[in-house]
Amino acid sequence: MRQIAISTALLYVLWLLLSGHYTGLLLTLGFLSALGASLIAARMGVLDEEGLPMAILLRLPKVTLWLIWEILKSNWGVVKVILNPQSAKPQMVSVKASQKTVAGLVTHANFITLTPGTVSVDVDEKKNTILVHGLTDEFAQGCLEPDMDKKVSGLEGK
Amino acid sequence: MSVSVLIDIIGMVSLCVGSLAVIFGALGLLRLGDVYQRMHGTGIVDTGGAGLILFGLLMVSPDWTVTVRLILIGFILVMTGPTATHAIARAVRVSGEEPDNVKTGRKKAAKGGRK
Repeated sequence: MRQIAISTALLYVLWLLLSGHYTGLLLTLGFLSALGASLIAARMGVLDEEGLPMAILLRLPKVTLWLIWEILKSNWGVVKVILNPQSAKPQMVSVKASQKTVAGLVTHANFITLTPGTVSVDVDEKKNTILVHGLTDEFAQGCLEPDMDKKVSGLEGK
Repeated sequence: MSVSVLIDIIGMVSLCVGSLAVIFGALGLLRLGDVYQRMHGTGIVDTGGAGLILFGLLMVSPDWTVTVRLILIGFILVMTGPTATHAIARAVRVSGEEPDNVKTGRKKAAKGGRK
């Protein structure tokens, strides 16, 4: 029930931002379609902690600036490797993840892929490890540092 | 110099740097070794390239409805980009392709992959 309310509210805000029509009839119709979409999603069974991870979504702005800075830094690193392809020394490393929820683990893997120079190739839910392909030693070792792991675990708030 | 001119200049510079990032990403796609390395090249396009271009457009956007749409585009790109990259990487690994110069302990698949 709570999930349906949150989902309806989010969808209605999205509708309000995108529509640009603010007359009584259209506002009502917009609300009804938001509610309808949420009910269909609930019936499909996708409105659970995984489909709507509010804990993570609400805390996301806290790490945004840090993440943007990391992305810019590694962008520059990858550009240097592209200009000199011989300097690429790919590595595969297994990163231990301390996240307790599946949504948290996915967020961690996505953050790793989002920073250029590292791509998460395989995620093991049972062992809580992420297999990462790094473009050079430096990128791969950077992933092993607990910095990102801690930030994402902080997002879970558990 | 007024503030709006300054914001315009920041936007233009950001657009130019973003376009450069896209060019470098494409260059990486052509120059790097195997499929795993090439994925790092495309990583530049959908983070640095798309990010800086969107930021530049935000700076020069004429009114708030455009701003809202640009922020939404950025959010959706950040959510879907890594997922798509991971899907490709995982598919490559599952199909038996091993990265160059890396010891993973798995046998290298026969050339040409499985039929």
